[in-house]
Amino acid sequence: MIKVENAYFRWNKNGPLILHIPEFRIRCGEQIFIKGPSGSGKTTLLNLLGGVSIPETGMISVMNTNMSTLGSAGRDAFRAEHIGYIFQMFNLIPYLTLIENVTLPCRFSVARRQRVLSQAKTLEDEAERILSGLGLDVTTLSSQSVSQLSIGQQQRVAAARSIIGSPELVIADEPTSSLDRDVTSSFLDLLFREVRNTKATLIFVSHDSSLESHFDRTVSLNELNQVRQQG
Amino acid sequence: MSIFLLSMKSLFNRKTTALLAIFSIAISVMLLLGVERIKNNAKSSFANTISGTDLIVGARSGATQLLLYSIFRIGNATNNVTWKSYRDVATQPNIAWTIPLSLGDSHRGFRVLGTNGDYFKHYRYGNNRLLTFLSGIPFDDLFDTVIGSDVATSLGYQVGSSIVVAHGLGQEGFSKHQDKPFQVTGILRKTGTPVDRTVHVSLRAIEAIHIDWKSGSRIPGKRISADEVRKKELRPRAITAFLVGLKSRLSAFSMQRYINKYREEPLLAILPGAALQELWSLMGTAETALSSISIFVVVSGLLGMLTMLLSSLNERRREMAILRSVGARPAHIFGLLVFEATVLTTIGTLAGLVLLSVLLVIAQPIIDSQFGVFISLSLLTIREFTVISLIIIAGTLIGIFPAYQAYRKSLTDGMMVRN
Repeated sequence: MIKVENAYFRWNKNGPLILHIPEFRIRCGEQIFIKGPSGSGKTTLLNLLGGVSIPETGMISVMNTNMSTLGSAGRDAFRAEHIGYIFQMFNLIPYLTLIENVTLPCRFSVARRQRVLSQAKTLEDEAERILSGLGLDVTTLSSQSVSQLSIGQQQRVAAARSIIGSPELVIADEPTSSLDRDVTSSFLDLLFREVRNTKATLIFVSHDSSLESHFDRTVSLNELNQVRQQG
Repeated sequence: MSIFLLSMKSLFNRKTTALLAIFSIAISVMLLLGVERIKNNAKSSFANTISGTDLIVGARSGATQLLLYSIFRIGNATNNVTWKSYRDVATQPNIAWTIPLSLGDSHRGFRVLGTNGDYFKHYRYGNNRLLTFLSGIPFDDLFDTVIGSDVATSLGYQVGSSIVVAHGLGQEGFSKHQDKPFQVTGILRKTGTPVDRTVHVSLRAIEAIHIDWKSGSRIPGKRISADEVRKKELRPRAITAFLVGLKSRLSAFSMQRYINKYREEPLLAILPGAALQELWSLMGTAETALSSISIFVVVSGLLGMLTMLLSSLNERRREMAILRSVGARPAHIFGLLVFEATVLTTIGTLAGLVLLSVLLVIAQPIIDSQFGVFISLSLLTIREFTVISLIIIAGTLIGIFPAYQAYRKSLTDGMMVRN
């Protein structure tokens, strides 16, 4: 699924080296836990995998596509089509409704829209189905603004958005760090179930090593990245 | 839901600041178009001070000066036109009518105009409108007077009031023709022209009040009473200027040439339209100043919007990052902000137009009665349409600035907001 070979990254030509990953592979359908404290190059790695940035030298390929060979517009399109994201918090756009937030990726990717429409009648139906699968009752929640939802509910909406249209890769960046323990484990259970349903590969980044046990494999970013961060 | 709908929803989410930006643009557009419209209407109302007259004739001086003293009652004639010259011209076969004008006296700050009955038959203003009476009738007796509506309202005169004419143009001249008082027989309806501020008497009356005067002062020992004067034959020796109506407008130029080449006396004939144009162009500077001020107000309105967009950028970085994560390209972010600027300016401009129309509907009767400027409630002129389009284009262009900032930010931020 993902192949990283000898990738070097720095923000600008004369800046310090941020990331050097000699080799890293993730198999298709794997659910991998990347353990990384802040400052370990986590943001950089996710930007590289999502095609927001490209390595200075070396190769990063996602689904057998070398990201460096795509133009920036191509990488944006690639991301829209193949990758779903869940962030730590403030995942939702406050002025959009619950359903609009979930269906947002389908606005930017024709492929994901078509995948949804091959299974459901409308985008809204599919969003509703995924949300209820994640234990959210659309009819009662729709009446309020998404910023009024609890953080646990917001993260589940974000999870729904990351998997709508079945992207092959779901990247979760500390999605549970602002949830308490009970909510975290129920969130993870639901996330695993949905990801398994769509046969997506899951990359889960967190500094909380107590979550390791839920995953197939754990990788420590400190071991992966050869650049020692100062401070 | 396109990127445009997204930006509309985003704007709606920030409706307080968005409304403020729209409001400031609306006010500035209202001002700009309002100034423009009032200017145009003032111009046409200025051009409407006199109409239906083909030539204005006076002693030879400048065209503008002749127009100013004969029509606007501003300044003085350098010389008079003799009665003989006037009759010579007036009896030309091409001429349909003439109105003699004799100026020089005043009544409490208002000019006194000596003329004859033809004034009420032929003098036209505005869109070929004749003078009409609010009350009373034209002067008939030697010491009758017809006053303009401003004279009546500001001095509180009614038909039957008695007034004394002062010699010369001083506000409260010490030399008055108090031995020969006039009686108001008619009050003219408001015209919005200098006629409103004029006291009209007959030419014979002008002669009568000056019969015992010479060179601006009373002839010592010579007193002729009002009743004695009535018995005298009063024939004016000179007038200040006269208006000419031709049988055919085609002969205006040949008649003008005839008068300008008149051998007995140096005369000047002017075409009122051309002279009005020339006079208006003198006011060009004030006009330009007014326009530039309102253009700057529009610029400041647009800058207000720019400030609002720029200051919103930081709090919207999260929003941009989410959009980026779901596949929005930096170009989308750019488009989002440019579109927002376009929407704000367009709504602001249209709101300004609506505000202006509402304001004009309310103010129109007031402006008409107070200043005699009739503001037409016309639809958009081509010029106004151009101005509006230019403002919207300018607003869109201004949007490029915050859009570029957001574009740069979203390039460096990617999906994570970096601080």
